[in-house]
Amino acid sequence: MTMAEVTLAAVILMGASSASLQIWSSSMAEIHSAQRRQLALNRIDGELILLQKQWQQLAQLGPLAPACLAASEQLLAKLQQAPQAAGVERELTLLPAEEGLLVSLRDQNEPRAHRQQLVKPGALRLCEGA
Amino acid sequence: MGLVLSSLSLQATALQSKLHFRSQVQVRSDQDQLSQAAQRLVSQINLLHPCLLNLPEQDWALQGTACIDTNQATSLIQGGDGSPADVLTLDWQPDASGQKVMLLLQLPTVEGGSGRRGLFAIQLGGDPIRAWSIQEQGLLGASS
Repeated sequence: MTMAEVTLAAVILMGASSASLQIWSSSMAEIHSAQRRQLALNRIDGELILLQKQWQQLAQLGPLAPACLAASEQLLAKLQQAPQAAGVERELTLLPAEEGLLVSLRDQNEPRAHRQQLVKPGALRLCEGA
Repeated sequence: MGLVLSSLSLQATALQSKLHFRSQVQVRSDQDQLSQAAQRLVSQINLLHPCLLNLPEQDWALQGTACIDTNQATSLIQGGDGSPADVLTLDWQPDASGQKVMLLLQLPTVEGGSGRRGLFAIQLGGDPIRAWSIQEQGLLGASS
């Protein structure tokens, strides 16, 4: 093997190693990031399950108010008091025209991890209609 | 060579994780849409057409159903509530006890909809009888 061949082989080896290490490093970063995103999704799911339990418990007690808008307002007040998981943004929006309550949950560090549920008091026997 | 192969394998794993997350986000978005549709449908039935609570969906549009006319029944089944993604009611099936209904909904298959279906258990109770609980039983996957 000549000196030129040895040099060329060394250059190719170094280039391949360097590229591989870069891919390896970015892949590891992506895998860690995926794990963080999955944890964020799980956190949001857990928070949603807790809120769902809250409104199911309320539904077992019967109507909150005769009118659905008033029932939505009471539901809003009760859900605002529910404990909130760290790292999760919770937004409760009272929709117009007795459309119900919109519950939005979002992870503070991973905005793509989000859930949005509509709660209609009429569907849960929390009101009797207008 | 080992380093090249292991880095490519890791790259494939990373790509798979990314795709998995994207799919998980889509599943949750579908769950949320189906759940919203279930809330809307059950609310309408509870407040406006309670006689449907214990009536199988295939009988809703029959002539002679006391509390709803054929057009309204068709509108309920086809999810014509004016929402951007109208959800189809595939089945509403009360059980023999009269205390529980299984509801099957499907997302649209057109305009980018996944066509995914969601199964919900609806609890009935009280006097007069009304639905008071909606629990998702799971997604049944997209239709082909």
